[in-house]
Amino acid sequence: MKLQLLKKATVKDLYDSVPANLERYRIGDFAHLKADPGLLIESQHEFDPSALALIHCTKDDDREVENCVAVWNALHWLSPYLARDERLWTFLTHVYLLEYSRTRWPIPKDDETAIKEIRRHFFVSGGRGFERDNAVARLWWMAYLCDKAEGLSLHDSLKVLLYKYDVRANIMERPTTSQSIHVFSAVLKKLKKSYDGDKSLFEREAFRSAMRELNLIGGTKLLPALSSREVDHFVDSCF
Amino acid sequence: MKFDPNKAFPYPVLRPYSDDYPQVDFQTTVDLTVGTDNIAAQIECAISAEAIVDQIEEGNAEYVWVVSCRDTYFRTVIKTAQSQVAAEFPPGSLRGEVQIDPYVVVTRPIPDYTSSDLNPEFGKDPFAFSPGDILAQDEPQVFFIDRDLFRPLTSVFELVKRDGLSDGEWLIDFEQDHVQIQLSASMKEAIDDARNSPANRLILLNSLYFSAVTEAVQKLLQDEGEYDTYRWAQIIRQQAVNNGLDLSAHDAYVSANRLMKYPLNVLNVRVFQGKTE
Repeated sequence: MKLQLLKKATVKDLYDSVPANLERYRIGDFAHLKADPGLLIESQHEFDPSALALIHCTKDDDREVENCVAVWNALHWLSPYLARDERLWTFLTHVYLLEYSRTRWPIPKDDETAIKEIRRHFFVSGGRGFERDNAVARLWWMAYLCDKAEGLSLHDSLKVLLYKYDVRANIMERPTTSQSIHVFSAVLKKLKKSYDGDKSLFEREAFRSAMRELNLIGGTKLLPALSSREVDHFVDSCF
Repeated sequence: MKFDPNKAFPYPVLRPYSDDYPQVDFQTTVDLTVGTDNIAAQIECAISAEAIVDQIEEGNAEYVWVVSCRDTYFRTVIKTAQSQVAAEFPPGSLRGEVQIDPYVVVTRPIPDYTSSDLNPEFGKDPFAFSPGDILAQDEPQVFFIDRDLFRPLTSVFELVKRDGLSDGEWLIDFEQDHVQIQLSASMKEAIDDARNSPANRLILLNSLYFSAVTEAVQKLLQDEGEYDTYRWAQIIRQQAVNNGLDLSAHDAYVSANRLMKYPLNVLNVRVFQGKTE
């Protein structure tokens, strides 16, 4: 079947209707979205929704690495342009991955808080809504970044990137680190070494201090223009 | 590395707003074309500091353009000894703001760099540069890539009916993602019918839509942030950037004319002269 996206107007209606749909989010479903072609547009890409069945979690085990890999295996062919389209991820969180989304991001009992949480994790809002908040888009974007890392498997890259929130946020919110493959790979390799050892680099101050030093070097050296060997040398001097 | 005119490097750098090299320049022009199969950039640099050009020719430095897109985490580095380059990017790789940062970067150690163009305050001692150091940096060039930006500007408007308006009277509501042009029910119906004809569409473009675009630009000129979150405002601003148009440098009707690609001319050719495309 073809990959489907919600129409923009459908996303807006859903977003506006969150307060009225709270029970659906808690225990119901949005199967009607899939059944009504008037609410959807079809992309040109072939898509097998059964591949998404591997994405699941429990309240005690979020299975972040496994779920990132599963989303990546199912949707690795998405272009970053399409992966930046809220209509796609809103459709997936409401239809194929509704159960996963509400287990991973439980809906609070208080209605006001629930509305905010649903809008954060079932839709895409704000500058970092894709890679941080939307229940499914964040899995894809983390896998997308980690798949580009050199010298580490996707599974290992994800394991170290996902180990501590503070480290992850520090990497993903710094374009110098997350956008430059050599720098990103070098930092992940340092994290992997620490992960396999005493994990001291995952301590908030240790990692921040190393990143500050790397930023200082990046202030006078154009790191993206250097070879991976040269970048490794500078990263070694900071970590 | 962000362009920051106030930043202090531990060595001289040729860059705008800096007096490290008071009499010479490093300037870049970028021509970006978005096609259905690719996005192409023609990049050209001009540099008037002979000592830096010499370092490039000797293979100690090269032109570097860093093309990056924060939304898609795309980054590519173009390195060459040539001052101009043509580059292509897959269309799915870029979305939102795309930035091209131009530099001249050291590739091999330069132990004794001197230049007659340097500010005399640096003294006569030579400078030592190592790989990755910057000899020159220009301001980033910014573009926006989004399917909405390559649609006609009129796509940010929608016609809606409003009770209480007489025929011929119309109002504009800017407090939405789309600008609403409000009309009486019968006038909206008449315009909806008229839009089926290409000639009528050109007439509407030169009357109703031209006035509406002019008013929208005027609103942005007076804007103090109240329209920032509306999609129509983002699209008009980003289309202006992509067309090299500084909205604040022109009257609103002049900007509207450029943003709409001179609609009077199209009316003249297609309707007055009756020529087809």
